[in-house]
Amino acid sequence: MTSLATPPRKITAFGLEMPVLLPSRGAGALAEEMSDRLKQVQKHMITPAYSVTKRQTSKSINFSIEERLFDSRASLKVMTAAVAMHLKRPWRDGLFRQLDSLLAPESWDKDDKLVDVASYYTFLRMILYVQPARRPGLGLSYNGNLIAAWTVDVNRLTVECLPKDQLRWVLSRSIDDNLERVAGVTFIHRLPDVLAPYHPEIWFTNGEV
Amino acid sequence: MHPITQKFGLLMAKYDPIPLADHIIRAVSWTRLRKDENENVLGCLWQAFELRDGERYLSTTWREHFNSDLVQIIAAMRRCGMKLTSKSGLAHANVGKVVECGNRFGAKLRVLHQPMPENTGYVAVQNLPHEDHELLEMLAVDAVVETVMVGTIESTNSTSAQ
Amino acid sequence: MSINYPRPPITEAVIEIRLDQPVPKVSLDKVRARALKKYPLSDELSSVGVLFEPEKAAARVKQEWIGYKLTNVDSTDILMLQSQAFSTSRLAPYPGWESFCGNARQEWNEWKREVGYIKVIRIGVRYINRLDIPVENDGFIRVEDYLKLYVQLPNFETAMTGLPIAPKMADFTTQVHMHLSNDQCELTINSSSIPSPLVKHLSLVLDIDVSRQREVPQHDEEIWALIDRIRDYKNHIFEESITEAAREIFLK
Repeated sequence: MTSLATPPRKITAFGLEMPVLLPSRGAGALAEEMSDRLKQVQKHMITPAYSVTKRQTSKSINFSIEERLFDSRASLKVMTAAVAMHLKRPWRDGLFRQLDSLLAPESWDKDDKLVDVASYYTFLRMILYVQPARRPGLGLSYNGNLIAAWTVDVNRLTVECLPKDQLRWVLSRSIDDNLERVAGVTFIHRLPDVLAPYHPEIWFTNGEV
Repeated sequence: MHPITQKFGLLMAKYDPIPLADHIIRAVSWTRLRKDENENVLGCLWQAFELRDGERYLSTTWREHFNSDLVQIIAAMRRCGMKLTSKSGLAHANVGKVVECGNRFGAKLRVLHQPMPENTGYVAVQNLPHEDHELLEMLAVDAVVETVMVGTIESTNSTSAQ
Repeated sequence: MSINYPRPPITEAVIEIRLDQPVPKVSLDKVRARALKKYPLSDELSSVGVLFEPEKAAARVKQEWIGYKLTNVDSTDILMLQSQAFSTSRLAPYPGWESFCGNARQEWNEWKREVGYIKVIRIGVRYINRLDIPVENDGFIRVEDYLKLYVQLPNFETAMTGLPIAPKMADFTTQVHMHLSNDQCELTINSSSIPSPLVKHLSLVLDIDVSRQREVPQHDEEIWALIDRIRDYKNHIFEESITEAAREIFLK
């Protein structure tokens, strides 16, 4: 029996990093042969969709904001594709419409930063962990963190997705006719426990994950 | 012309606080409007009141200074270099409630009229803490009395002008 | 053999046709121009290498243009127009073989209309699957519970310490290459552990590539008939490579 441990947490862009570790460097012919083989395996693991042979990106300042927003939308959709098997089609389609709207050139503030991919990664992981049936409204902080907001009358839950699975959240919840307000920073795996006293089903139900 | 007072050897303009019953308007970009999953605008996210790095106060405009003429207010904001699109929102906040929100969190918010040539109704909200997102949420919920879309204002104005 | 899973673990499906000679850039430019309507996101592909010039005791960076990578608006379909290969990729959600292969064939027809006949030297179908496995509190899974292709390790630590310590891998990567008896095909299976995109999960990659490089058909009807057969072989290989426990994960 051979067990596999959960690897230490590290952010990967959904499977781009295939762990082929090059060993201590040898000098002989066989060491070189093995090194070449490992490099071939590593190269073969890059799939066509994620091919990283030189790509013209629009991160250059020479690209217009329209091109950079277009690229940003495309990148986020590729990231979503890596987990699309876990999202129902209407949910995913709705999310894409929201991303198109959030990153539309005609409403873009030039002083804003584009969506940080590490933040979007946290957002996707949060959605897949919490599995809200209702999609949140989407927003963006000044420094590119994606914001997920659920609103039901006076009950508000706002979650700013930070890199590395961290969430900055604020909620207003009417309980027994009293409005309670709470804020905090937590990790994704703790969010259900943190929200449990406030009955988060008010925000998350009545939709299609 | 505003009276100038000497203070600690520096010339400082004395800025008048805005009456508590009046309102300030904060321009909110589409990305910081609170929306539902179908893009219906519900108000503001607390991030609409967050100071950017290097900012020392929140920029707003005094509504009553322009007799609540939102078209003039939009023009003044644009003269200051703000990019307002049809999908930008104008969040109207009651000054008294702004101050009250600050008090509840131990922040002595000062809402001061600082007229500029481009915007004679410019107001700075000072002493806003950088990290207190609970206070900012309260501003977004309790101090903001309504949020109006720039597109709605401009299309109403152009309809009226016909 | 084909089981329709409600949530197939396919992250990418690829059909690739490799060519004996490079396609003139001017022809690929025309194919690209026509394809932009459907695939508006266009990237240029080039390979970057280091060229050593021992006579000059110097090295320089050598960049070679390879082709174009075109992506649709939703970033689910990708068309790769390379100087010596044509390929289409489909990312999740996987729409089914008919849709995927139908689209690939359509793009090939468009490509051929512009480029014409060039000798085909390799035809391949590749499916990259990712099994997202929930992890118990102790943070371990047994690979053999989900994949029939796995690494068998000796009890190193027991031998070294005398204590009954079962071997625990931090991660693994394997590649197996086989000659199949069907259709003179080759099989390459890559398998690997990767950090999972899901919280409290661990992911295993099962990457199956079936190709033919000997006596490769040249007529379109035969090419696509072979591709259909390769898909069947791939399905058999996939089903034989996973356990019932794995199946249960994507049957939910």
